[in-house]
Amino acid sequence: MNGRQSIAVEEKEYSPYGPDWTITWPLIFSAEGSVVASRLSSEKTSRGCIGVDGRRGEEFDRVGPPVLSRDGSHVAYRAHEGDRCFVVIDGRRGPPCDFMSDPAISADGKVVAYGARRQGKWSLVVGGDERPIDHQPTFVFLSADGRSVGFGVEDGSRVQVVVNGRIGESFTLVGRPVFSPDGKIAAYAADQDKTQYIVIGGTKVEVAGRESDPVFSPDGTQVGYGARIGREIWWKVLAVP
Amino acid sequence: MSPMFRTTSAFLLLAGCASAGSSFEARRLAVISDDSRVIVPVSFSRDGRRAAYVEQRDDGCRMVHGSHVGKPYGILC
Repeated sequence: MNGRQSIAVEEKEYSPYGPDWTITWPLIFSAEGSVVASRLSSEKTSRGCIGVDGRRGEEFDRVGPPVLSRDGSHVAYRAHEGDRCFVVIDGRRGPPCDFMSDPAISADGKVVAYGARRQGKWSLVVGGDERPIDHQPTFVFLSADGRSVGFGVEDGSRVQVVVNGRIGESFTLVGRPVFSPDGKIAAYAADQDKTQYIVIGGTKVEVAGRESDPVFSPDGTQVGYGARIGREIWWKVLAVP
Repeated sequence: MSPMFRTTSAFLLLAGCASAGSSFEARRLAVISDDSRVIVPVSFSRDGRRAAYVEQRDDGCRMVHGSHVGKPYGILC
Protein backbone atom coordinates (compact mmCIF):
# COMPACT_ATOMS: atom_id res chain seq x y z
CA MET A 1 0.00 0.00 0.00
CA ASN A 2 1.05 3.67 -0.26
CA GLY A 3 3.00 2.87 -3.42
CA ARG A 4 5.04 0.07 -1.84
CA GLN A 5 5.19 -3.47 -3.09
CA SER A 6 4.17 -5.96 -0.49
CA ILE A 7 2.97 -9.52 -0.14
CA ALA A 8 -0.51 -10.02 1.23
CA VAL A 9 -1.35 -13.29 2.94
CA GLU A 10 -5.03 -13.31 3.71
CA GLU A 11 -5.35 -9.78 5.17
CA LYS A 12 -1.78 -9.37 6.47
CA GLU A 13 0.78 -7.52 4.36
CA TYR A 14 4.52 -7.58 4.62
CA SER A 15 7.52 -6.32 2.67
CA PRO A 16 10.22 -8.67 3.88
CA TYR A 17 13.09 -7.90 1.55
CA GLY A 18 13.39 -4.12 1.72
CA PRO A 19 13.03 -1.44 -0.94
CA ASP A 20 16.04 -2.54 -3.05
CA TRP A 21 14.60 -5.92 -3.93
CA THR A 22 11.64 -6.60 -6.17
CA ILE A 23 9.66 -9.78 -5.68
CA THR A 24 9.16 -11.62 -8.96
CA TRP A 25 6.03 -13.61 -9.65
CA PRO A 26 5.24 -16.44 -9.06
CA LEU A 27 5.34 -16.99 -5.32
CA ILE A 28 6.18 -20.58 -4.46
CA PHE A 29 4.57 -22.22 -1.43
CA SER A 30 5.56 -25.32 0.41
CA ALA A 31 2.88 -28.01 0.23
CA GLU A 32 1.90 -27.29 3.81
CA GLY A 33 1.60 -23.58 3.00
CA SER A 34 3.87 -22.52 5.82
CA VAL A 35 6.84 -21.34 3.74
CA VAL A 36 6.85 -18.96 0.79
CA ALA A 37 9.72 -18.40 -1.63
CA SER A 38 10.24 -16.26 -4.69
CA ARG A 39 12.81 -14.82 -7.02
CA LEU A 40 14.09 -11.38 -6.11
CA SER A 41 15.75 -8.89 -8.41
CA SER A 42 17.83 -5.86 -7.50
CA GLU A 43 17.05 -2.77 -9.50
CA LYS A 44 20.44 -1.34 -8.51
CA THR A 45 22.60 -4.21 -9.73
CA SER A 46 20.18 -6.20 -11.93
CA ARG A 47 21.33 -9.32 -10.09
CA GLY A 48 18.98 -11.86 -8.59
CA CYS A 49 18.62 -14.14 -5.65
CA ILE A 50 16.05 -16.33 -3.97
CA GLY A 51 14.12 -15.20 -0.92
CA VAL A 52 12.61 -17.72 1.46
CA ASP A 53 10.41 -16.46 4.27
CA GLY A 54 12.15 -13.08 4.37
CA ARG A 55 15.72 -14.40 4.12
CA ARG A 56 17.73 -13.59 1.00
CA GLY A 57 20.05 -16.20 -0.48
CA GLU A 58 23.32 -15.67 -2.36
CA GLU A 59 23.24 -13.24 -5.27
CA PHE A 60 23.87 -14.41 -8.82
CA ASP A 61 23.64 -12.90 -12.30
CA ARG A 62 20.29 -14.64 -12.70
CA VAL A 63 18.22 -17.22 -10.88
CA GLY A 64 15.33 -19.45 -11.88
CA PRO A 65 12.18 -20.08 -9.85
CA PRO A 66 12.75 -22.02 -6.63
CA VAL A 67 11.29 -25.38 -5.66
CA LEU A 68 10.58 -26.32 -2.05
CA SER A 69 10.37 -29.61 -0.24
CA ARG A 70 7.01 -30.45 1.29
CA ASP A 71 7.73 -28.70 4.59
CA GLY A 72 9.71 -25.90 2.95
CA SER A 73 12.93 -26.72 4.79
CA HIS A 74 14.84 -27.46 1.56
CA VAL A 75 15.10 -25.23 -1.50
CA ALA A 76 16.65 -25.73 -4.93
CA TYR A 77 16.93 -23.47 -7.96
CA ARG A 78 18.89 -22.75 -11.13
CA ALA A 79 21.52 -20.01 -10.96
CA HIS A 80 23.64 -18.34 -13.63
CA GLU A 81 27.06 -16.71 -13.22
CA GLY A 82 28.67 -15.48 -16.43
CA ASP A 83 28.20 -18.12 -19.13
CA ARG A 84 27.83 -20.99 -16.65
CA CYS A 85 24.86 -22.25 -14.72
CA PHE A 86 24.42 -24.67 -11.86
CA VAL A 87 21.86 -25.92 -9.42
CA VAL A 88 21.86 -24.49 -5.92
CA ILE A 89 20.56 -26.86 -3.25
CA ASP A 90 20.19 -25.46 0.24
CA GLY A 91 22.81 -22.84 -0.56
CA ARG A 92 25.36 -25.26 -2.03
CA ARG A 93 26.32 -25.02 -5.72
CA GLY A 94 26.18 -28.09 -7.92
CA PRO A 95 28.61 -28.78 -10.78
CA PRO A 96 28.58 -26.14 -13.54
CA CYS A 97 26.89 -26.80 -16.86
CA ASP A 98 26.34 -24.96 -20.13
CA PHE A 99 22.54 -25.10 -19.91
CA MET A 100 20.09 -26.67 -17.50
CA SER A 101 16.41 -27.02 -16.77
CA ASP A 102 14.81 -25.81 -13.59
CA PRO A 103 15.16 -28.47 -10.89
CA ALA A 104 12.51 -30.62 -9.25
CA ILE A 105 12.70 -31.73 -5.63
CA SER A 106 11.30 -34.72 -3.74
CA ALA A 107 8.89 -34.25 -0.86
CA ASP A 108 11.58 -34.79 1.76
CA GLY A 109 14.09 -32.64 -0.13
CA LYS A 110 16.65 -35.44 -0.35
CA VAL A 111 16.44 -35.88 -4.14
CA VAL A 112 16.83 -33.07 -6.66
CA ALA A 113 16.53 -33.71 -10.40
CA TYR A 114 17.29 -31.54 -13.41
CA GLY A 115 18.42 -31.67 -17.01
CA ALA A 116 21.97 -30.50 -17.68
CA ARG A 117 24.02 -29.95 -20.83
CA ARG A 118 27.76 -30.34 -20.62
CA GLN A 119 30.11 -30.54 -23.59
CA GLY A 120 27.14 -30.57 -25.95
CA LYS A 121 25.40 -33.56 -24.38
CA TRP A 122 22.24 -33.56 -22.30
CA SER A 123 21.82 -35.70 -19.24
CA LEU A 124 19.22 -36.17 -16.56
CA VAL A 125 20.64 -35.65 -13.09
CA VAL A 126 18.65 -37.39 -10.36
CA GLY A 127 20.24 -37.09 -6.96
CA GLY A 128 23.75 -38.45 -7.38
CA ASP A 129 22.88 -40.31 -10.58
CA GLU A 130 23.42 -38.89 -14.07
CA ARG A 131 21.81 -40.51 -17.14
CA PRO A 132 22.38 -39.46 -20.77
CA ILE A 133 19.23 -38.42 -22.65
CA ASP A 134 18.64 -37.65 -26.31
CA HIS A 135 16.62 -34.47 -25.96
CA GLN A 136 16.75 -31.24 -24.07
CA PRO A 137 14.28 -31.50 -21.19
CA THR A 138 12.12 -28.41 -20.98
CA PHE A 139 10.96 -29.35 -17.49
CA VAL A 140 11.64 -32.15 -15.02
CA PHE A 141 9.31 -33.60 -12.39
CA LEU A 142 9.76 -36.10 -9.58
CA SER A 143 7.56 -38.38 -7.55
CA ALA A 144 7.17 -37.56 -3.88
CA ASP A 145 9.70 -40.24 -2.92
CA GLY A 146 12.15 -39.15 -5.61
CA ARG A 147 12.25 -42.61 -7.21
CA SER A 148 10.28 -41.81 -10.37
CA VAL A 149 11.30 -39.05 -12.72
CA GLY A 150 9.78 -37.54 -15.83
CA PHE A 151 10.49 -34.68 -18.16
CA GLY A 152 9.06 -32.80 -21.12
CA VAL A 153 10.61 -32.48 -24.55
CA GLU A 154 9.70 -30.03 -27.29
CA ASP A 155 9.89 -30.64 -30.99
CA GLY A 156 8.97 -27.46 -32.77
CA SER A 157 5.48 -26.58 -31.56
CA ARG A 158 4.82 -30.05 -30.08
CA VAL A 159 5.43 -31.21 -26.52
CA GLN A 160 5.76 -34.75 -25.20
CA VAL A 161 6.06 -36.03 -21.66
CA VAL A 162 8.55 -38.79 -20.87
CA VAL A 163 7.76 -40.80 -17.73
CA ASN A 164 10.26 -43.30 -16.42
CA GLY A 165 11.78 -43.55 -19.89
CA ARG A 166 8.47 -43.97 -21.81
CA ILE A 167 7.55 -41.19 -24.20
CA GLY A 168 3.91 -40.04 -24.42
CA GLU A 169 1.70 -38.56 -27.12
CA SER A 170 2.63 -35.18 -28.52
CA PHE A 171 0.45 -32.17 -27.74
CA THR A 172 0.45 -28.51 -28.60
CA LEU A 173 0.55 -27.59 -24.91
CA VAL A 174 1.32 -29.49 -21.74
CA GLY A 175 0.91 -28.36 -18.13
CA ARG A 176 2.92 -29.40 -15.11
CA PRO A 177 2.76 -33.19 -14.65
CA VAL A 178 2.37 -34.82 -11.28
CA PHE A 179 3.09 -38.38 -10.19
CA SER A 180 0.58 -40.61 -8.44
CA PRO A 181 1.29 -41.18 -4.73
CA ASP A 182 2.95 -44.53 -5.54
CA GLY A 183 4.99 -42.92 -8.34
CA LYS A 184 3.79 -45.44 -10.94
CA ILE A 185 1.88 -43.12 -13.29
CA ALA A 186 1.74 -39.43 -14.04
CA ALA A 187 -1.12 -37.09 -14.84
CA TYR A 188 -1.00 -33.78 -16.65
CA ALA A 189 -3.09 -31.21 -18.46
CA ALA A 190 -2.64 -31.11 -22.22
CA ASP A 191 -4.11 -29.27 -25.18
CA GLN A 192 -4.42 -30.49 -28.74
CA ASP A 193 -5.01 -27.17 -30.43
CA LYS A 194 -8.27 -25.98 -28.79
CA THR A 195 -9.25 -29.31 -27.28
CA GLN A 196 -8.37 -29.77 -23.61
CA TYR A 197 -7.40 -33.05 -22.02
CA ILE A 198 -6.34 -34.52 -18.73
CA VAL A 199 -3.83 -37.28 -19.39
CA ILE A 200 -3.68 -40.03 -16.76
CA GLY A 201 -1.02 -42.63 -17.43
CA GLY A 202 -1.52 -43.63 -21.06
CA THR A 203 -5.16 -42.43 -21.23
CA LYS A 204 -6.31 -38.98 -22.28
CA VAL A 205 -9.72 -37.69 -21.24
CA GLU A 206 -11.29 -34.72 -23.02
CA VAL A 207 -12.40 -32.01 -20.58
CA ALA A 208 -13.88 -28.52 -20.77
CA GLY A 209 -13.06 -25.32 -18.94
CA ARG A 210 -9.95 -26.75 -17.34
CA GLU A 211 -8.36 -24.10 -15.15
CA SER A 212 -5.71 -26.00 -13.20
CA ASP A 213 -3.19 -28.79 -13.38
CA PRO A 214 -4.49 -32.13 -12.08
CA VAL A 215 -3.76 -33.59 -8.65
CA PHE A 216 -4.13 -37.17 -7.46
CA SER A 217 -6.38 -38.07 -4.57
CA PRO A 218 -4.43 -39.27 -1.52
CA ASP A 219 -5.24 -42.91 -2.33
CA GLY A 220 -4.25 -42.48 -5.99
CA THR A 221 -7.54 -43.78 -7.38
CA GLN A 222 -8.82 -40.41 -8.65
CA VAL A 223 -7.55 -37.28 -10.31
CA GLY A 224 -9.07 -33.87 -9.61
CA TYR A 225 -8.75 -30.60 -11.45
CA GLY A 226 -10.30 -27.16 -11.30
CA ALA A 227 -12.60 -25.91 -14.03
CA ARG A 228 -14.44 -22.74 -14.88
CA ILE A 229 -17.65 -23.29 -16.79
CA GLY A 230 -19.33 -20.04 -17.63
CA ARG A 231 -19.52 -18.17 -14.32
CA GLU A 232 -19.31 -21.33 -12.25
CA ILE A 233 -16.13 -22.64 -10.67
CA TRP A 234 -15.98 -26.39 -10.27
CA TRP A 235 -13.77 -29.12 -8.89
CA LYS A 236 -14.00 -32.06 -11.27
CA VAL A 237 -12.91 -35.63 -10.53
CA LEU A 238 -11.87 -38.43 -12.88
CA ALA A 239 -11.28 -42.06 -12.01
CA VAL A 240 -7.78 -43.34 -12.66
CA PRO A 241 -8.12 -45.91 -15.50
CA MET B 1 9.68 0.72 -12.05
CA SER B 2 10.88 1.31 -8.53
CA PRO B 3 9.40 -0.98 -5.93
CA MET B 4 8.59 2.16 -3.96
CA PHE B 5 6.06 3.07 -6.60
CA ARG B 6 4.59 -0.30 -7.17
CA THR B 7 1.10 -0.85 -6.04
CA THR B 8 0.44 -3.57 -3.60
CA SER B 9 0.54 -7.11 -4.81
CA ALA B 10 -1.40 -9.89 -3.29
CA PHE B 11 -1.61 -13.57 -3.80
CA LEU B 12 -3.97 -16.36 -3.15
CA LEU B 13 -3.00 -18.65 -0.33
CA LEU B 14 -4.57 -22.00 -0.83
CA ALA B 15 -1.49 -24.14 -0.30
CA GLY B 16 -1.99 -26.43 2.62
CA CYS B 17 -5.76 -26.00 2.63
CA ALA B 18 -6.69 -29.63 3.10
CA SER B 19 -9.29 -31.05 5.40
CA ALA B 20 -8.53 -34.20 7.33
CA GLY B 21 -10.73 -37.02 6.12
CA SER B 22 -12.15 -34.97 3.29
CA SER B 23 -13.76 -36.82 0.43
CA PHE B 24 -12.29 -36.23 -2.99
CA GLU B 25 -15.39 -35.53 -5.03
CA ALA B 26 -16.71 -33.25 -7.75
CA ARG B 27 -18.40 -30.12 -6.48
CA ARG B 28 -19.38 -26.62 -7.49
CA LEU B 29 -17.17 -24.26 -5.53
CA ALA B 30 -18.34 -20.79 -6.47
CA VAL B 31 -20.38 -18.68 -8.81
CA ILE B 32 -18.81 -15.48 -10.12
CA SER B 33 -21.19 -12.60 -9.67
CA ASP B 34 -22.53 -10.93 -12.80
CA ASP B 35 -21.07 -7.52 -12.01
CA SER B 36 -17.46 -8.62 -11.56
CA ARG B 37 -14.68 -9.79 -13.84
CA VAL B 38 -12.15 -12.47 -12.88
CA ILE B 39 -8.70 -11.23 -13.87
CA VAL B 40 -6.32 -14.06 -12.97
CA PRO B 41 -6.70 -17.84 -13.17
CA VAL B 42 -8.66 -19.39 -10.36
CA SER B 43 -6.56 -21.14 -7.70
CA PHE B 44 -7.71 -24.40 -6.15
CA SER B 45 -6.77 -26.14 -2.93
CA ARG B 46 -5.21 -29.56 -3.35
CA ASP B 47 -8.24 -31.35 -1.92
CA GLY B 48 -10.59 -29.56 -4.30
CA ARG B 49 -12.64 -28.05 -1.49
CA ARG B 50 -11.72 -24.41 -1.97
CA ALA B 51 -11.18 -21.97 -4.80
CA ALA B 52 -9.94 -18.42 -4.78
CA TYR B 53 -9.82 -15.78 -7.44
CA VAL B 54 -9.32 -12.07 -7.98
CA GLU B 55 -12.34 -10.12 -9.09
CA GLN B 56 -12.23 -6.67 -10.59
CA ARG B 57 -14.96 -4.13 -9.98
CA ASP B 58 -15.18 -0.39 -10.52
CA ASP B 59 -13.60 0.37 -7.13
CA GLY B 60 -10.62 -1.99 -7.38
CA CYS B 61 -9.58 -5.63 -7.20
CA ARG B 62 -10.37 -8.06 -4.40
CA MET B 63 -9.52 -11.62 -3.57
CA VAL B 64 -12.61 -13.81 -3.21
CA HIS B 65 -12.27 -17.01 -1.26
CA GLY B 66 -15.47 -18.81 -0.38
CA SER B 67 -17.70 -16.32 1.42
CA HIS B 68 -14.68 -14.15 2.25
CA VAL B 69 -14.13 -11.03 0.14
CA GLY B 70 -10.79 -9.28 0.70
CA LYS B 71 -10.11 -5.60 0.86
CA PRO B 72 -9.68 -3.68 -2.41
CA TYR B 73 -6.26 -3.02 -3.93
CA GLY B 74 -5.20 -0.99 -6.94
CA ILE B 75 -3.51 -3.96 -8.56
CA LEU B 76 -3.34 -7.60 -7.58
CA CYS B 77 -1.21 -10.16 -9.34
